[in-house]
Amino acid sequence: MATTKRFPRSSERVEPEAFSERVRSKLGNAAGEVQVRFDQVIVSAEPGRIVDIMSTLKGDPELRCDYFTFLSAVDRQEEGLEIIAAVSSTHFESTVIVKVPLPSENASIASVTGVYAGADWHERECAEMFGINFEGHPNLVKLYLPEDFEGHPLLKSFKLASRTYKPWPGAKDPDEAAGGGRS
Amino acid sequence: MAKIPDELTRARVTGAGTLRTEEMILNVGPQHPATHGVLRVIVTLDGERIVEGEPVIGYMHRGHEKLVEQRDFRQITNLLSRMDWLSGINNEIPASIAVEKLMELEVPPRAQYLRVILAEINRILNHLMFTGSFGLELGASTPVMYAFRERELLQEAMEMVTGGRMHFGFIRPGGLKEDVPRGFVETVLKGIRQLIKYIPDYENLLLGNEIFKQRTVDVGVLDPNLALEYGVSGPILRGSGVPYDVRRADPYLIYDEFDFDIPVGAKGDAFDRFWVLIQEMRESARIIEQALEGLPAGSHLGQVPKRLTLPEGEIYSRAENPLGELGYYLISNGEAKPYRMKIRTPSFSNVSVVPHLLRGIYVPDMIAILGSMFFVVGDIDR
Repeated sequence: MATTKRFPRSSERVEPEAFSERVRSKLGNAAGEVQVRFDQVIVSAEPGRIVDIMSTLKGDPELRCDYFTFLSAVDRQEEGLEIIAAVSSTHFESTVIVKVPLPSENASIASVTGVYAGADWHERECAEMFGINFEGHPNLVKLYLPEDFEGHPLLKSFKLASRTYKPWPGAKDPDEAAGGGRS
Repeated sequence: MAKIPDELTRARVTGAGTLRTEEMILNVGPQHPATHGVLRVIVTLDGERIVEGEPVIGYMHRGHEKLVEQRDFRQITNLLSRMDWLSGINNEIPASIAVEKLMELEVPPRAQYLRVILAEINRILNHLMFTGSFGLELGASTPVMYAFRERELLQEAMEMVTGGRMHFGFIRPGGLKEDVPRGFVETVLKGIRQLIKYIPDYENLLLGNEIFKQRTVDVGVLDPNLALEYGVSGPILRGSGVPYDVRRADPYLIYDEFDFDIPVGAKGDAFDRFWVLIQEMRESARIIEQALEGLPAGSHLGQVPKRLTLPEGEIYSRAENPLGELGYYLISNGEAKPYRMKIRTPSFSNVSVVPHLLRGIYVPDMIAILGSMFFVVGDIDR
């Protein structure tokens, strides 16, 4: 029978600092820097290790990151692209964010759908928005955009067409805006 | 005269013992009334059975992640309110929290309490909508009338405060746009009391209804491990028995000060998901009552500079939205606009698991399953 219970915070909850120690020791050489920021564990890694890292985060009994939160990317322009993937452990109530740098040209990285099946749509979105190839993805076709759409909208080089035609009318300096609304 | 080819003269006779079936592709939506907005599902049918069902999304894609890069931090609130149009206030809260944490702004206690109250009212409004619409999808037209009766009082309270009924645009970095008007507390209390009084009616009408049970019990069973792997959250994950709630697991605002329970299902079927949805309204009402009782006096807005300039930094800020975990990954490079904001919406992850639930079921169950996944298309596509 379904129940309504108090369910306090997990008794096995691990504080972020302690969890980052666990992540550091379990990932070993696979990960680069491991740090804690706003109570979340941030792991930087090389592109070739992403599947190893995700498998360890999910499978290790002391990490148990069972909950796939999201996967996306950011265009850092001169510094290339960067994959940002977040997973959480509902058991230890901790979140790990993995950051992987990629080159801007011909960016390609192994798909993590074999570890977290839920990465499927996230990677498809990321592929069409940033032009990143996910090797081994079962169905890497466009998710939101029409099939014949050209370009990758979330790259910084992709300009919003309406804004090149007319600047954003709401772009008002707060001091100027005091007199009236948008014009 | 030309010779008739052999294959045209040969007749094929099938014995009575074999019934040859052929797969058929049926396109459901994007305008199908039972699909909430414009979700399209391509189903491959073998007779009455679904072989494969594939949701096709993107008909409402507005590119929020690109649009927020054009606006400053005060302006993005109004945009985010429109993603999941049933949870305006809830969408706004984590964005403001992200800005506040990066800027180290202090939010006065009154604003914290009011945010909780407004967020929970919004949760009830959302849940009432799905209570009504789920009944409607299964052919019960009465519950939606009752649900909207209760909705109206709380909707009135929201309108009193924000002036809007859907897109509130009321949360500001540092607090709220305005303080609540006189009579707000009474209106909310009246709405909550009416809701609590009538929840048993919904339970009798739907959960106790034999036809409703036939349509939902053991239908669309979602395995908890599969759900977690897909990032399913909210009432759907809890329906599968996982007591994961961001309000408890990663408390934001002042949720750790309130006493409330987390309802979880046992089987993870459509019935359990709906049961969880109804129980959550009770818990939200409990939180609102406690928050109204403890509502401190004081300012509704902290010390906020006229120009919001964020330091360089990154933060993942999340909240328990009515439909599940909403998160913003905000990257600031020190300018007035966000450098990048990844929006992780609950409906996106929740709907991505749907193909697993549609495999091998009968066509009418599809409507019951889609209805029990409680999604908003604007929230999937954003």
